Amino acid sequence: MRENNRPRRRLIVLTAVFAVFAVIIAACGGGSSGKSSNSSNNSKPKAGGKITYGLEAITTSFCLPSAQLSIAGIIPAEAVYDTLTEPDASGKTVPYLAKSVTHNSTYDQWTITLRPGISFTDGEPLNAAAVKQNIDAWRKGLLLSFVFTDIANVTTPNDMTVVVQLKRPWVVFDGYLWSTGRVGIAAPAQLNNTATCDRNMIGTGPFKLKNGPSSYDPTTGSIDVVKNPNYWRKGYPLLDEIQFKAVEDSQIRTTQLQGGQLDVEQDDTGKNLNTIEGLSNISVEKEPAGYRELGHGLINVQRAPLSDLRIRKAVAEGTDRNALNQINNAGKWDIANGVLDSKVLGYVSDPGLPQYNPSDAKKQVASWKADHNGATPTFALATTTDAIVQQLAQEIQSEMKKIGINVTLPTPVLQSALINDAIAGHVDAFLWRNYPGLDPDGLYVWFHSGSTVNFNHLNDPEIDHDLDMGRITADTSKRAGFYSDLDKRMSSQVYNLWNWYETWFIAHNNNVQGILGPNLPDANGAVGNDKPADILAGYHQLIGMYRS
Amino acid sequence: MRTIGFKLIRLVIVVLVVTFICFWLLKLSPEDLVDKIIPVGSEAAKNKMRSDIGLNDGFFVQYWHWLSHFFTGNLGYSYLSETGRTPVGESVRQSLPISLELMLGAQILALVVAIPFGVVTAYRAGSKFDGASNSVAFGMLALPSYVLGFVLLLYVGAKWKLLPTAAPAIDSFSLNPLDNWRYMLMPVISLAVGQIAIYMRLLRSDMIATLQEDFVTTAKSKGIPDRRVLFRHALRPSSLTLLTVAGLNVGALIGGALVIEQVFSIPGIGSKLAQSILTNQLVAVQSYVAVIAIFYVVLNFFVDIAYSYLDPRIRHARAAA
Repeated sequence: MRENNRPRRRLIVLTAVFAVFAVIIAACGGGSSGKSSNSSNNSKPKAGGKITYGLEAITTSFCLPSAQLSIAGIIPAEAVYDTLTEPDASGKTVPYLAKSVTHNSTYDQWTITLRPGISFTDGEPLNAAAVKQNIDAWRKGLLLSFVFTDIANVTTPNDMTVVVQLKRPWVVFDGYLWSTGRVGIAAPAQLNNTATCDRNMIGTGPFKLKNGPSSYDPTTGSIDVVKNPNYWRKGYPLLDEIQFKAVEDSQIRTTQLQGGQLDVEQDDTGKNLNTIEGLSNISVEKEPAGYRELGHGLINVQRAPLSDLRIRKAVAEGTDRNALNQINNAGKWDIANGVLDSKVLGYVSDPGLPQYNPSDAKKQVASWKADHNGATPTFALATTTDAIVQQLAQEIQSEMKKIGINVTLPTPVLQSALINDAIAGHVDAFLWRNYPGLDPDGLYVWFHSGSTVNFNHLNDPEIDHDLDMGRITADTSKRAGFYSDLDKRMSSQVYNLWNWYETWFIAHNNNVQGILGPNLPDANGAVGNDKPADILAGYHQLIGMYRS
Repeated sequence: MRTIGFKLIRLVIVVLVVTFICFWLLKLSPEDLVDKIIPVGSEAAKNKMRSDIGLNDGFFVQYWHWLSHFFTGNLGYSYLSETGRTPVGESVRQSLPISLELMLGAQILALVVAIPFGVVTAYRAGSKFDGASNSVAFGMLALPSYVLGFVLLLYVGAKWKLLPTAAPAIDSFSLNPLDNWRYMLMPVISLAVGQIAIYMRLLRSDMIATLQEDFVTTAKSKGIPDRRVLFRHALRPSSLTLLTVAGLNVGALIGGALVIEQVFSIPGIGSKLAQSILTNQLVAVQSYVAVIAIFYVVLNFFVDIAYSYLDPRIRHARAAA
């Protein structure tokens, strides 16, 4: 039977093989995957087109007074909302949605004058009442209430003017009207309805939700926005549509950028930058020194055994930061010893962070054990799901084991859950990045006792003093002194384990340009002379992006 | 009909047990449920959640409320922010069809490839082709679906750009069918490869046994062509084990889909379940697990029914009993 039916057997085999390949060929025949060829970086900006923007995390709410926005939430928020101020390329805060922001001689009263003729995308006018409602909502918000605790009251002397009376001087209050993009001005219609506030994003910004709240899925982090045709910056935005897509694993994000499914992505991992720099169709914009965040191991100093300085020192002395930098960044990022970036006010080159010294680390551990009946110091290191972060965590676990500290690695969680757990004080330590450059008063909310987002749960009078004095003092050289002291205190007490200056970059296909955006608006709303800030902790303008 | 009636009663009991276990598992958590789900929420938000879940009621009252809500389409909420809550039912309605497409695609591809190969390798048992096919099948069995997924993603998607590496951000499945399949092909192949090997090996061994049966010899002696003997006479009685395993394997497919959906950023129910686990949304996890478990149980109920139609001996035996 076998000999007589060879043609049939072949037919059966061929049919099966054909069935598989037919499916593949049919699917591959659907056209290209959206990738484009190289294009000139000097192409002329043009309007139109749509891009997909890859975000590093899911954002679960855009009700700004209560939202927990990392850079993955700040960027889509920036698409829909404008902030009253923005930083320019020199780091100075300049008015943006506001026409002017001025202060009295004692810095305890700030006057915000609004630009005329601006409306929210639901048609409501932008006026002083709307801005007051936003500021009052911030003051009641779960995370922002501490940020704006120095506000005594907000008044509206006329329809276009808001006066903020402070309880004490605040020399860089205008910078907090930007807050790294976290405090966009939302329409009263969004704020008034608490049931829909988290999804019904309405602002004055360059884009609006494509189909209302259904264009934002808080379970996947996807957001679809389209051009606001009535945007107050005439001629902008250039793009017709942006689809934001959360892809939490940085390597998968890089792969999707390479494959053309993402046009732009945000990242801060040097290892991925290495990969991306080898791709001919991808360009990168990197943030400069002075703007960089700190990659670090964040320590909750209220939880034993990390509440003990000996263990924190042992962790610092037992950690080979160069090895970690190699794993995370292919050694590309600069090792950091303090909380301030090299061009930030008060920077100290050696603030006293204990350096790599495993033998001394063992002595610190031995001293701690002697006081604790020989128990092994143990702490949990929380992580997100990113594959590179997992490698880092395992390396730290291995290094700590060598000096006698037991590190457990709980089940990884998404970034939003990690932030929640950190605020609630449920974690011992976690791998994190934060504290972007510009003015060091930005550190106030992260380290001052009583702050909701004081993830370290610090309660150090010296730190509080430096932060308070830095906030109220106008003299720049004196402020530098306070922040230098703060830097030294943070490092010598090992409140965090500083690893490296986290250098954010925006990677984009060559056919997407205009990442940094046009110059900032002048008093009349036209394109002015002030250049916008470079990439700042991943933040950049969206309105100037275009497809070439 | 009586048999089906008994099976239906058994199905209802199994579903009740499954839902009870899903509900009970949540209660095993030593931590306060509300603090776990919204650790930084205001007291008002926490009280709202307690009221939603009925946490102040007794255990069985809570179960009854949850069950009655579940079967009327109210699967609870994800409490993703202090002020907002997202209905799980809405997520299931959006994500379940996507996962079904993925699993159905993988199952069909696996059967389309495995059946002809299983038949041919049985027919040519002991030949070089049979040996080579078995070796390839063992290799496919040893290859985890996520590894193949990453390889396809890196080479077919990113480097050669033959297929997209991920679905679009929004409305992924409102695409035209061809575009839809372009996005689904790599995930389907990744998920199907392991199943192909299992089905092929199973069918091969059953077919070898069937080909020794008298009725096959009789058919051959009547001069019926080999292809007809193989596919019309021998395949049907040989496919019972395949059908059983195909039904049971839905569990493995669901597990595989959970990983594959992550690799390819597919917004299916596996992704939603993973996100709920990773954001401590335990009420949502409970509902997703219950939906998946019920789907699995119901599917196997239909597989059980299908036996009777595939094999008259079972039907007659049941009738006689």
